[in-house]
Amino acid sequence: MRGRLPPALVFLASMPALLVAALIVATVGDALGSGVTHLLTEFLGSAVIRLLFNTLGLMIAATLLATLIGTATAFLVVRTDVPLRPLWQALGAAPLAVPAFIASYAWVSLSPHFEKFGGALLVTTCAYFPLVYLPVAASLKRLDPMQEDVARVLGTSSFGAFVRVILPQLRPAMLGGGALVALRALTEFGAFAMMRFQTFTTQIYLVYTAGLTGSVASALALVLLMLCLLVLVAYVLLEGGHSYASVGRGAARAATVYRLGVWRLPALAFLVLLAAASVGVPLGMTVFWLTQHGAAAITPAEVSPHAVFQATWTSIKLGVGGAIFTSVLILPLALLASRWPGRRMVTWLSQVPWLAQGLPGIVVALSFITVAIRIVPWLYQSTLLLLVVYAILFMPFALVGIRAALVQSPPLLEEIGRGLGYGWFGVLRRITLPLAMPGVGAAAALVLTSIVSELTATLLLAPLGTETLAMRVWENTSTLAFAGAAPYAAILIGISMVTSWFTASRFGVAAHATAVGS
Amino acid sequence: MAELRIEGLTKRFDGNSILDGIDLQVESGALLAILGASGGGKTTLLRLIAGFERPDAGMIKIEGVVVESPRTHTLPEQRRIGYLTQEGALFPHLTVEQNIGFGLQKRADRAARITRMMELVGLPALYARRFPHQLSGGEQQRTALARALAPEPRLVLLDEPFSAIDAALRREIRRSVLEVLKAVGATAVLVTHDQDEALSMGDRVAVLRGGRIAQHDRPASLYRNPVDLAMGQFVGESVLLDGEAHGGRIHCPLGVLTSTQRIDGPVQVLLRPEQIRLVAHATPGSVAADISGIQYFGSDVLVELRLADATPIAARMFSHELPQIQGRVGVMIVGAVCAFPSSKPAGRLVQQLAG
Ligand SMILES: Nc1ncnc2c1ncn2[C@@H]1O[C@H](COP(=O)(O)OP(=O)(O)OP(=O)(O)O)[C@@H](O)[C@H]1O
Ligand SMILES: [Mg+2]
Repeated sequence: MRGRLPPALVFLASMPALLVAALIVATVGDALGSGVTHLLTEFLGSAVIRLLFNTLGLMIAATLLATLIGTATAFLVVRTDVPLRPLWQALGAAPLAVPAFIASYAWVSLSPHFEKFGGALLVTTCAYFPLVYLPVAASLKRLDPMQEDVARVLGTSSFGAFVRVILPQLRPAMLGGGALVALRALTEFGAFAMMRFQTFTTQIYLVYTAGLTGSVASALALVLLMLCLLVLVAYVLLEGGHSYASVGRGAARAATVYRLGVWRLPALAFLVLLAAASVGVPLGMTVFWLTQHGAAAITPAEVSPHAVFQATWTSIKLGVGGAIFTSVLILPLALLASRWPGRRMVTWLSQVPWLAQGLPGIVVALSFITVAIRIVPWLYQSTLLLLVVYAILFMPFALVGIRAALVQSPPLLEEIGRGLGYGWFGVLRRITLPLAMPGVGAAAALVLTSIVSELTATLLLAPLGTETLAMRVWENTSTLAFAGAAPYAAILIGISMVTSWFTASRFGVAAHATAVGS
Repeated sequence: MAELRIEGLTKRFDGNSILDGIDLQVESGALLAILGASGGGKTTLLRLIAGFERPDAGMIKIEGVVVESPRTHTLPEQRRIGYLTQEGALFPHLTVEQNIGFGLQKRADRAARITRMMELVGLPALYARRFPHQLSGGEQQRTALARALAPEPRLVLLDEPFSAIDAALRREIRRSVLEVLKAVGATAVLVTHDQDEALSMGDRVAVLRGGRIAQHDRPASLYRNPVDLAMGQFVGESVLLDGEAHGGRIHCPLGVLTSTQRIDGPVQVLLRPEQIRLVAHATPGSVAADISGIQYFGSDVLVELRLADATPIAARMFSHELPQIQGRVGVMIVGAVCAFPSSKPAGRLVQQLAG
């Protein structure tokens, strides 16, 4: 399918860009319209400074810690003789199937001491270190072991070889993963709210639900949006466009496995602790509260099987609907990107979902509420609006997965189809899509996982009377009814694990860590 | 540069003996080519010399100093060895000059040395800032050679360094590498599974077979006087015939030939296709043969023939000597041939052409 870009396809492929543009215009317009500097200085004053301090402090601490832990784990698991390596390899990705706010719920219900900065840092790091671990482990496996040998004979110690040869080549993976962690730390809401740690997201939520003027929330949202953009810009500057193309085939010989010697047990202890904190506590506490009577928690709550069933059904409906909506929305762009790569227009349009990774759910939700109330009131409180917001938030996952699936289906078959007299749409329907279907399904499953574990936008936008699993966990945790939250949390984790496993079996676990800029 | 001495080197992987008592010696400034089949343990031998692996038994001495024995193990970074691999293994995150300067960290003359090495291997100065993926395969290999030689190693190990380069370029790169090695007076060990490469580059050639050094000789002696039939077939194209030897004369389907060694009794005769000359049919002293096929290689040709009793043989000649004649010709043998004792009774003629 080379040659001219079909105008209809280009139009459809521009939809994500139009949505994102509308969103930014709405937020900026709303905030500026009411004098953003005035609002921030006069009305909020020192509160904004404190929020900045909290948000940036947590972002920096979590990014550094997650990068350190993710890289160390990858190295231990890939290159050392630490016991039970296959187990740790699998567990390294597992935290991604546990939403951060569920982890938060687990820690808070374990002890009230887990709160504020410390608690937030613990949860963020445990939930997001896999975003560094996965790409770094993949890079480590790709490195040519000969390079280390050559460095050794050139006079460097094995530690020197690590610092001068291995580490620099892991830099792109560490930066990419680190940038994702920073973005997640900036945009996380549920986990921080449960830890009673104030950041921009929790404050925006508070201001909005308190019914204060919408423009105060917009002013805060604008600042948060700027912070996210700053992270993206910093990433681009630091990364500098280098990806170290490896030279030659390499990797004919298995890489040297470093003997840890006396450090074997400390390394094992580190991995055990990490697994316990990132997977053990969330699963363990959920199971613990499941077995407790409703009255055992600080606030007693009885769980009706009917409510559980309703919430599960609603979550699945929204997840499936959102996954289909997102896939359909992104398909034209994925087609353009896979079949006409390199065109300037296509390159620009493909950057849009990438930008969307820097959009906090709460900001997206707020700006669409604003737009809906002002322009299309019937959209407000409708499921469609919620699906649109989901689509914007999770476009990157869909684009990466669907494009990969399309790239794998050979263009030659399409040319044969054209030769047999089909137009591009006929070829798309009869050849391209059927071939790409399994991959598209896996990408949709990833979107489904994300939607089911989404809390912020769902809380703000869910139509009246709609209750999802995530919302139930949130409400029960807010009132300290831990036993009441448990069944919802358990089902949520279950769904997330099944769909994650499905995606992973198709794309490999690295699909989760959609690298910035990919 | 230094001499290398290896004694009784033995290495097992998972109980399989890969190297089984290797003894070798390389004179200072000489290049030893080690020829062996794929999977024969060539890379393992080099990795033992470099210190990446430890042997199960044996000793390695460089410049008279033991670097490896059951009691000593000098770390790779302290052996002062240059290592050049098939793929070059350049560091992809470093430029050409940073790659070459990698082993020159603490030297004051680092910049000058990098320039000097680039000149030596024939890399244009403007390549200094390029990254490895911006170089051709040959340029990558030159960079890797410059990097290996920059710290003035005592010994250079080359692990099939030319096999990733396409055939057209290979000969040229081989020659320039040889020139560079001679220019710096390097003691070198080259391993390869390519006979031409071993014979043309080595001052000595050692053949690694079944984990042992089966023969260690000058290239010409190895080709002319292989220790056994299999060795003869391994190092070059051969024609095999059955025969009967009496006091240095061998009776076989090609007539009466001179043997390189004294031998009596039933033998297998090994001769090289270039020892067979084609002459006009019925020339006195020739044996009649029919041309059954011709393989054309450009500068030379291989003419496939059948003797009167259907024994297949082959003759190599320059292509301009290719006879216009078809059908029946005469063949004559030039020079002495190798003969090895045969268990088979003479008379039943089993011949084969080995390539
Ligand atoms: N680390 C190892 N563990 C187990 N077996 C090994 C190891 N390294 C090499 N071997 C085995 O030892 C044998 C010799 O390997 P080696 O790489 O030395 O062969 P080679 O002669 O260099 O072959 P090639 O020409 O294909 O490069 C092979 O059978 C290989 O599988
Ligand atoms: Mg080898």
